[in-house]
Amino acid sequence: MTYNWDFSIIFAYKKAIASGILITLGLTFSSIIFGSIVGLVLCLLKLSKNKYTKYPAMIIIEAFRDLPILVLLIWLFYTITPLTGLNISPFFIAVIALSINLGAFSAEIFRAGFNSIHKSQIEAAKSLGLKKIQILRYITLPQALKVILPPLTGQYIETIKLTSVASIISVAELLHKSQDIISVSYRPLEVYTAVAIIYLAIIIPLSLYLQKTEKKQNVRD
Amino acid sequence: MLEIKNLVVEIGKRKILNKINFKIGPGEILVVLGPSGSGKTTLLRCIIGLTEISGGEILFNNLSTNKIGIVFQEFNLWDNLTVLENMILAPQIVQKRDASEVYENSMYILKKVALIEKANSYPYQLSGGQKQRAALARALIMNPDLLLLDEITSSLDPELVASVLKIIKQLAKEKMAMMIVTHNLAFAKEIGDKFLFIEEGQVIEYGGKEIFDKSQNPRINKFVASKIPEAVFQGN
Repeated sequence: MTYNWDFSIIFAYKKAIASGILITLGLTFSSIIFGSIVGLVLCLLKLSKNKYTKYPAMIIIEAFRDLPILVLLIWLFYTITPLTGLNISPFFIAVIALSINLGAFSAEIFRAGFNSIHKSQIEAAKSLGLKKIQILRYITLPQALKVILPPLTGQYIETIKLTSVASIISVAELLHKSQDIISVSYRPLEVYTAVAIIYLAIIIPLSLYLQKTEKKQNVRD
Repeated sequence: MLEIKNLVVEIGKRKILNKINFKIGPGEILVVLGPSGSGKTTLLRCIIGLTEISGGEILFNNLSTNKIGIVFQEFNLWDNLTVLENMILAPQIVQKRDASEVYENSMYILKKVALIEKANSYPYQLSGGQKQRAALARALIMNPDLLLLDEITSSLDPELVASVLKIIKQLAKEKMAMMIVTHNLAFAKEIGDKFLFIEEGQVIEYGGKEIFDKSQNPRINKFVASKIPEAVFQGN
């Protein structure tokens, strides 16, 4: 028995697929922005000498690195309204879960970046009278970014892939939309194949960019 | 201008510096001598505020702390900035000076230290001697009243040493007050007004050129004798 592939179904539902892609990209960008901020803050707290910020940050980073994203997402989905009394949409719950996850992983990436900077670079800045925030902006952050960017891009790619778990709490992203389409078209093979291709089309250019920057970095070093 | 009174630095239970006293006046050059590990660098770090002092006083008389420049032994240029950017950052954001004035002054100083063609190079593109001159240029653009130099020739090849020392001598002629940590005894004797010998964190001699007199402290004689092979200085 041979299966008759019929990809015309994809074009018939192109609007639904397009809206799924948009939601996936929206989830990704929001999570990347918030997750990077969370990561930078957690990293600075962990690097600080104050034990009241250092140890909580260490615990938070470790806990959310170890917690499966799916468990975190479902936990937030069921508990966030009773706990906060706020009516938060599944989209934002997904953004929160993905941001926490990205934040915990990127905090360690940021930390490795900052630790790669030699103390003397900071001392030179202090000796010339630069304030802490100026040192961060002009010296440490630009230098750390070179070390941070390749692994951080990798983590961003991971975040794109993880957005698919949001389908479980009925966020209408790409995977969820494809399930909707399957339920009316009965064409899972075509639809899932198309979804896979779309994910690859989004991720491969980023991955190539990542490899290029890594190569460039190696040449300079 | 700068007065150090009974300065003590302890790290853990170890006394790195113990009851150090000296003065530097305007236009004066103090040379700090002593074996490795005697606390010379720590002394400079205290003045610039990078190492906390455990006792005593550092008095800045008519000397603002942001008018003290330092050149580190290991250059410490910022890797992410070009030579010119290394120079203009602090004058603009710390001293809030006018951008075009800072630029023109930077160019003038780069000419003086013979580095003008490297203005737009990054530190990793420079040789050791060029890095050292760039670090000196970064200190000079701040218009310091006092310049601290930490063994600035010790990581340079012998042929580069002369070019850096020539610039220091020029600064001395221009009456820049300086505190120079060096192992180059010939250079030290030529340029110094006052000399501070430190050993194991303590001052063993402090005074003018007369302290090199053979009849003085045996420890200094020993130090001087040990330096003779290195004391070849060809700069003019």
